[in-house]
Amino acid sequence: MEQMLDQLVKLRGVGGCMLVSPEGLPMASHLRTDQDEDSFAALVAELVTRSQGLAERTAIGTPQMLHVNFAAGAVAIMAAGPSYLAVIVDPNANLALLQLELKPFVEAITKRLAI
Amino acid sequence: MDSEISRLQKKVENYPSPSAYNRLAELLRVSGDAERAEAVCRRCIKEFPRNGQAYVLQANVEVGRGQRGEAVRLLREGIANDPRCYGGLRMLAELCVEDRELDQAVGLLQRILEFRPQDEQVRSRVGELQQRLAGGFNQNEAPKPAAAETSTDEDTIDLSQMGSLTTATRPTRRPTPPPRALARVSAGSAGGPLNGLVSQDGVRGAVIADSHGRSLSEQGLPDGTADLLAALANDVSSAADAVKDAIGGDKLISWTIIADQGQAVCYRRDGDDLTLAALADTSVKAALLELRARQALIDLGAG
Repeated sequence: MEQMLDQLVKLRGVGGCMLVSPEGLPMASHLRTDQDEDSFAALVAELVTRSQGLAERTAIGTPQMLHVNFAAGAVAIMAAGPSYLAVIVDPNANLALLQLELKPFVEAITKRLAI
Repeated sequence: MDSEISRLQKKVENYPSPSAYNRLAELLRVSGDAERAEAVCRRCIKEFPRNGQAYVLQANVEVGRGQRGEAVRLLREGIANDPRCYGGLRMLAELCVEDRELDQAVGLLQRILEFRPQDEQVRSRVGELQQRLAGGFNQNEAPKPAAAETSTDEDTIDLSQMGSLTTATRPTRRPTPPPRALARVSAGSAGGPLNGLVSQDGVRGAVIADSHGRSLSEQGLPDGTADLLAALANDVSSAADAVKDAIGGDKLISWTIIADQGQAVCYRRDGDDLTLAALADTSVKAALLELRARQALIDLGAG
């Protein structure tokens, strides 16, 4: 899993990534050294929980992807099997291209976790 | 998942580290093997007694078994050994709230603020609990966001079901929007600023909300949905703000949830405290939706 994330952060526009358990704990990560893994994982899980609540109550179904834009960068969160893959995106990244590039990683992680 | 567990087991045998133990224990717990998860936590605590996360993991296992007292004991021990254990302090604080020991909960959360003074969620929670302590409202009731009658799930703390950190926080409250902005919304409440957005093919409806998650103007949404969407969008924005703080990001601009039967987008302009949330079909391009949302707020005069 660590190897997969090592490959993922080499993608253009990716500033870091983490695999988060549904309980909000880090399963594997590749963040910058100044970023707190535990807090980030917990907050990602909370964001996912709240997004699921919104999706359920507004009848838009099951969330596949959550994308949060900040003034300088973004965070993309995708379901990967029972876990979530959170990717920190650089401000100058081509998000549409990056989403396509992330897809095989999500599939590989899902497959790996299903074993 | 089994292969990952095997890999981590080898790792903790050959190169034991707190993070490897934590991940192994969490994976075992997620896979339903509470016994082994607990054994890993115990071993980790023995080898790395200052690894607070191991206590939190074991406390989660105990909560899952209904052993709440043991969970509290473990968390207190973990915090004593690792005073900056964020997860431990937060989980114990929420258990204290459940026990109506609000002053203790505030004390625990204030310890987090000593080393993470910018943590908005913790700040918000402290303010909320202090209000309850001051008798602002019934201590037996958790405060509800706007339109909370229809969003009680978001306020439920269920540590046994969902893990402490994912459920232990409350939406951040931002300042009330200035009357000037509210007046503009009222003037446009016939749907003016939302016309352009909602008239787009595939857009189901939209709502403009204030910083408390109250619906100010809506169009196209079924009865009762506007308040619900405004409140829930406010919750998601609060959680997104917290993520932003964790990664050292700049201000939140927008978020999009792409689901299998539709999508939700929320756009927030800095400085005016108004947000626009919209629901749309999956066929609508998210970027276009966000652009229209931004335009609607500009038309409103908020931007």
